[in-house]
Amino acid sequence: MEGETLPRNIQLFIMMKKNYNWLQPGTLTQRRWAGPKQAIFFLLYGSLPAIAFGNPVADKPLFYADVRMTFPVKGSVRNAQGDPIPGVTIVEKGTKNFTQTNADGLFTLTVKDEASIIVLTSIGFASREVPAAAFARGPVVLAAAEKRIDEVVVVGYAKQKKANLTGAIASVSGEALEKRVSPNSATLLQGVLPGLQAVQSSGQPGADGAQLLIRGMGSYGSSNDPLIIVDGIPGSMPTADNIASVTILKDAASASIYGVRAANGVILITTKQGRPGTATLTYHVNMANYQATKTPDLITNSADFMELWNRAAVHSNSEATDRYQQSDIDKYRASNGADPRYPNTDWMSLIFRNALVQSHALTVSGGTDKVTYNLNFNYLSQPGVAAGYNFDRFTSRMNVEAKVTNAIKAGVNVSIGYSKTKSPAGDLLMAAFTQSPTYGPYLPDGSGRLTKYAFSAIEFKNNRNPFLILNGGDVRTIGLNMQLNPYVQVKFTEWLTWDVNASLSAGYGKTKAFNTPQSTYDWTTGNQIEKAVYASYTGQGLRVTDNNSINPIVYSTLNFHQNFGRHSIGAMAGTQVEYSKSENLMGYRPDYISNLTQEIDAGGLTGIQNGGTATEYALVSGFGRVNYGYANKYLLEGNLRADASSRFAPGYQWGYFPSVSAGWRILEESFIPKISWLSETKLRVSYGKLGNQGTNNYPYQSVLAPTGLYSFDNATINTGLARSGLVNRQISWEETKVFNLGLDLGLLENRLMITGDWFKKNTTGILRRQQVTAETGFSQSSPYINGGEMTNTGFEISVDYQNTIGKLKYGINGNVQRYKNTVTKFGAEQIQASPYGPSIIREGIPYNSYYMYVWDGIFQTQAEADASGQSNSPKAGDLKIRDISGPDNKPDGKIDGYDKKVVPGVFPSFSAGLTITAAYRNFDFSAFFYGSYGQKAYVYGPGFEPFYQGSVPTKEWLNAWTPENKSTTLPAVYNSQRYNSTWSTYPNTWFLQDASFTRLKSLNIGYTLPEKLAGTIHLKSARFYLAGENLFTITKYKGLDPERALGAGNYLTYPQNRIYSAGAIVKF
Amino acid sequence: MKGKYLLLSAIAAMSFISCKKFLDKVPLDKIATDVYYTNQTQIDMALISCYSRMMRGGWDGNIGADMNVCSSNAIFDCFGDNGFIKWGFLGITSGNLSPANTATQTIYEGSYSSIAIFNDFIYNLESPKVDFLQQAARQKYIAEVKFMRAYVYFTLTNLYGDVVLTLTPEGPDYRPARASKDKVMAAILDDLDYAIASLPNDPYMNGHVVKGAAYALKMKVLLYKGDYAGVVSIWSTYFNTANNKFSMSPKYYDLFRGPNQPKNPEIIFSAIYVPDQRYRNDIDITLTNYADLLASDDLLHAYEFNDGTPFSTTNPKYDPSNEYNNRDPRLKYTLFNSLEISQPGSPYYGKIAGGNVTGKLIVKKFVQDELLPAQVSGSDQDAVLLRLGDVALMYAEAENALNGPGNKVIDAVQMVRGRADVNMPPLPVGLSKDAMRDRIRHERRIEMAFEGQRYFDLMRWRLMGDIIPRIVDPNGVRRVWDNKNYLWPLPTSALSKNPNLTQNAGYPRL
Repeated sequence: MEGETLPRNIQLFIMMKKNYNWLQPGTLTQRRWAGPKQAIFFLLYGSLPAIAFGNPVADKPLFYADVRMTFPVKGSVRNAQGDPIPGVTIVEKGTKNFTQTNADGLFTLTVKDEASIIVLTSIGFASREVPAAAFARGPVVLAAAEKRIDEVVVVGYAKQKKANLTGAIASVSGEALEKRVSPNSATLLQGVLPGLQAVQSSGQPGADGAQLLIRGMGSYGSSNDPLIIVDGIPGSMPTADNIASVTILKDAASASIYGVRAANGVILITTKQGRPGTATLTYHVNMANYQATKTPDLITNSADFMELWNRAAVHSNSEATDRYQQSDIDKYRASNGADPRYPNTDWMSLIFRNALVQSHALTVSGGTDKVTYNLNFNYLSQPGVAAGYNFDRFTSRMNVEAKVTNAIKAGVNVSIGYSKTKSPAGDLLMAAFTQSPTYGPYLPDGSGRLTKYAFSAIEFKNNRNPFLILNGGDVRTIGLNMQLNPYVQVKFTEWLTWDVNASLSAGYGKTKAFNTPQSTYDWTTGNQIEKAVYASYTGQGLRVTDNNSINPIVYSTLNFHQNFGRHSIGAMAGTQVEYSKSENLMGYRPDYISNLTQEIDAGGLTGIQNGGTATEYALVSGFGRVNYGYANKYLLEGNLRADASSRFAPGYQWGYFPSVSAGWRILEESFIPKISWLSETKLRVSYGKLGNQGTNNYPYQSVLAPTGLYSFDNATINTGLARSGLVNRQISWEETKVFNLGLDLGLLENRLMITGDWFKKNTTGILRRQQVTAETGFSQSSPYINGGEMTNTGFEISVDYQNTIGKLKYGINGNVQRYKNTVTKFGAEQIQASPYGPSIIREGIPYNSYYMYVWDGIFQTQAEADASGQSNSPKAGDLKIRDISGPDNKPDGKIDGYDKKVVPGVFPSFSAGLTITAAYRNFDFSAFFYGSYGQKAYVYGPGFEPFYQGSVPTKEWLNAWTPENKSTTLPAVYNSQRYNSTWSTYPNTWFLQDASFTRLKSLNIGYTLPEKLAGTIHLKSARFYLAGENLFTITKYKGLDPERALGAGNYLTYPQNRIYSAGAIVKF
Repeated sequence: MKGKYLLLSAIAAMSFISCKKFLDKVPLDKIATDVYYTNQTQIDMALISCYSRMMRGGWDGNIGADMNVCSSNAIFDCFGDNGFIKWGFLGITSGNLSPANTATQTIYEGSYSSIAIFNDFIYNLESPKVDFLQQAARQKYIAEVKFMRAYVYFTLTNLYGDVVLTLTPEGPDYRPARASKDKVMAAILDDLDYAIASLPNDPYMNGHVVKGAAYALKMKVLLYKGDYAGVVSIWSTYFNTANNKFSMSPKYYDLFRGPNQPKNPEIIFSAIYVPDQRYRNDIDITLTNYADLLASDDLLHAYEFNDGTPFSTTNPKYDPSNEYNNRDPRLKYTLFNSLEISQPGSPYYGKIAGGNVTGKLIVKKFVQDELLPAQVSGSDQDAVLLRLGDVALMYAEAENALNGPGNKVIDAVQMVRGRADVNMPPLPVGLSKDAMRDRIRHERRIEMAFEGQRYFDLMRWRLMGDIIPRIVDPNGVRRVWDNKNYLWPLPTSALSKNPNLTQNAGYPRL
């Protein structure tokens, strides 16, 4: 009966060392037996030969004996350059028998026999399987890991080989991300994952995260944020040194397993786990110098400023008192900054400074064959480059996993984060922009008293001395976030596993905004002007807000995978339940005597306020996946998720999100001739449906809300209650259908990989407010409907080349993405002044397209201005607007609403990233360029418009139009608050600037100590590096930073940072 | 062992789906509509939300989120000849009134938001679920809210002419056309007649609308319609009888601010200040700290000398060192004297417009010295919406138009001129009817400056074309007038959502 299978009615009792287990007949693959029926059976259990005794037809257990042999292996493991690799995990395949290489790359391990397969794995290297006998023939070489098709990537609720992927997925390892230095790991994703747009709109400490957008803006009714999943649970980005890998799911096939929250794509993050072997302690320190990428070049010469003011005052017809006297100008001119009474104050330099930012990370990682752990502790101290800002953060992540039995694995991921943020309680940057250079922050008498202005008649409208804001108080926020994420994985058999994953997230935040009145003095007279509060955000006193939230989640999946000859079949099914509740509580008291007592009880009792509310939601889901592969050639996958959300009325709660995808690895076909330089060609196609419920928690419910307060007697306050809006119970999910066509090419033995994807993403049933007539009384709180439609089409291409020449290893990775947004259904068009400047929502064009008058030069003569048809009574030197059309669709000599035009540029036409890496001997180098092209920004307000709320103009205004200097690009200087300027009457393209840019985002040069040298000082390894961020930028943009241009087109947002840093990563 | 795992799976799966109520989530801080209006406490709360709308003055978007009716009234005066708003507000005074202007939108939409709340209240109070109330109590509730609805519609139709008349709660598909102004005025009078019939004839003491307020508003509606007989009739059947519950305040100052304002016998209806609700852009801060709203020279020169002679620099009463001397005392109650606020040592020094007040006419009428604001308002005054002085002048205007200038007219005007702390001489006897009409109009301007009457008075008298081009603003710009501006344009936002709306003559839809 040799070669026959064991009868199915027999149970084998297996004894393996100390573990006793029932072995299921079905698990004995490729088993044989030999000899007579009732005697000894030779079996193969996995790769283990075994002997069983007993009667195969008897209905009782067979006794099993372990008959393993022993074979000692002494081996050496080296890299391609011939250097030993320490810390390589050496495992005898199919067993738990393992060891690690030492600092010299050597190991010894006793295995069963010389045919035993030994698996070598090490971070940064491609795994290899080698027969035990091979080590006798000399060192085994491990090739550096590259982004290659055998790599396993994380997908929704599972892992998959890259070769088997059929959806549109991009991934990056944590190692690649760590090359950049940024306090906020979301910004590290910029430019490295094609299809993901990451825009860092501010460098403000604690608020410097990037806005993430996958494949464009998909909805105008709901959130456009991608879903971020950390180790299977919705969460937020962990710190960079905890990230093992990041994967983005872009198309419906890969994302639909996340159903109702996947319409904006999904970002999957896995965190680092420990590995069996000796423990490693890693200390990573980084010291960085931060400075603003750009501050505006304002006029700081007081005499120049005063003369320009007078010029602007004349042009703006302002009152005769609104001029600096020539005698005063002369005093400043004579002083030229030398006389402290007549200074040339550079307010920018008083506010902006270099900041030393430091981060320390300590990681302890290791484990035994039973338990592995990775413990990370991270501290960041980030003072702002602008005075008054600070951010401190402590985070810890502890991942522990235990093998309970051969079949059961259990673990827990714990993360704790604590942060402290400080920022000024008023608009500090606005204040800094709006001070004249004619006075300093403190009286010149050295008394330390704060000023407000030097020339009361003119400068009284200056916003506020920024030091008044800094002295008066601040806003302090603390945040404490905890997540406990236990999980159990049961491996029933090789082909069936069951996962249960739970998470409890709790968040607590407290914000204290404090302000006391400050006395201000007249610079010239020294007289007190007033005592007042200068923090526009908060008013006087203390406002404390407590926020807390709790968010439990449980999911469970059953995973099946089995090969049947050339057929490979996988299936997964799961359920998930989620609940969330958020609460807040606010208390306020207005009157405090000093800055010393900043607690609620210390304040006076008049005018106290309080408030608070709570909201909750729940989500129940079921999901499944089936995939099928034939001979690694034809790949098919189907996904389905069903979600029910508490945000919709019973009957409208369930949504179903299916997707299908297919892949064809063309080179596997026998009829395709082998092409030497082509190593992989895969065509992928997918189609499916995703959902979006990113709306408020109660969009369908008809409720009465506290509306208005009234008092009948000037004493008792009564709260009113009224219907809060019109509602529509019949709303449900937004749906996004995505069609994706992709091609993966591997060339030159996969040294060159090219991936391209084309997509069309169509969102229907956008949850937006119905356009209800004003006459219903609820046009501002109209019901939600599934009303709008929007389409995004685009493509992404990424090219990756990795090669080694001698001791030089180098790589080039570039990607380009482009998408086009179109509103396909909206209703009546909507013209608006925000969020990106004058814009329009109209069907057939991108959402929020710029819509404005067209700038047509500068009036060179008064006659030209008088004949213009502009209603703002323009003068020579003012901006000229083009007469495009009129009521009869032709120019009518009048500049009015008919002359506005849609101007492209609200979204970039494409963006690109380029990473160059190189390593030579112990040196490594990486550079990352990022660019965005075709986007425009509407720039206006303080810093750009002269004298806006008293703001100081930039130096270029010194060359503004005058009758003698007939500029054709820069209009005559005006006082933007006192003049019926072209800007306020005719928002126009003069203010719309090209925000295209190319920027050296990051540069990193490292040196790793030779291992022998490291070993002599008892280190496993040590790497030192210099890194820079935002080192240079090529742009035509005149504003501050083109990268954060959109929606922040004035000079008032906190600048981005240029970072020079040095760091060390030392392993013990 | 296998069985154990399966059992575990089953338990886990069961626990996920067992709880059907898991997905039933309702707002935790709000009440569902179907259980509302089922007891009197709830009705009282709903009534509060109606009254709170009166605090808003129709618009709440353009100047600041929390502006109240008192500021809004003062700003309306700046569209006439009394004052100036620094931002060229609305473009009204520069001939640029546009349907795209956000202020035309917020007034229009804000008014209909108020009307929707009123309609909801009236509709529910008339429904059977409120049968538990006594009929008289029920009618009083309805009458109070119908008065407020009439008040808002009256402003709306005065600004926009024909307007949509919505009197019941409407759903999301409501696309009404405009009703004629006559029809709107008829609906306003219906509401007011209901209010007159159902409200108690009390003095205005507890903040609720009283019968006298409904009479006073009806008088104003009839005056705007030109129904002088109707105006005179209300005067002679109510205000000039023993039923009248109101009397003149001996002090002009007490009407607008200070501890004697509450329960002042002259006030017929007001929007009451809500304690501790400091409005960032309320009237006092708008007037003083920001000095965004200034009086015009034209108004300064309109105040008579205290002997009743018109202002002139050649009049012997003119004091070039201080032109506030020897003038109608209401001048110093209404406007700051820049001499008094720009001197170091004055209680106002430095607190107003950053101390830079030279040549600026800052309004004092609503500013209480001890509550002078800094960044946040210090106001605690009620916004007076109807008062007996207004009623007396309305009667005088109608009586003169109907029966000519007689003692009845002079006596009515003297009610305001003869107030103890004003003490101006009576209007002369023997004026022609037209001369008397002009003196009454002048008196109305002086007595009610910045109370939100002047703009609407000039509009109904059709005097904008004569007066507005005479005004030169402090920034040196002369005002312009276009007759189409007798009506405001309907806002683009409303027109774009409702194809059945028409635009007023002379304005584009965009």
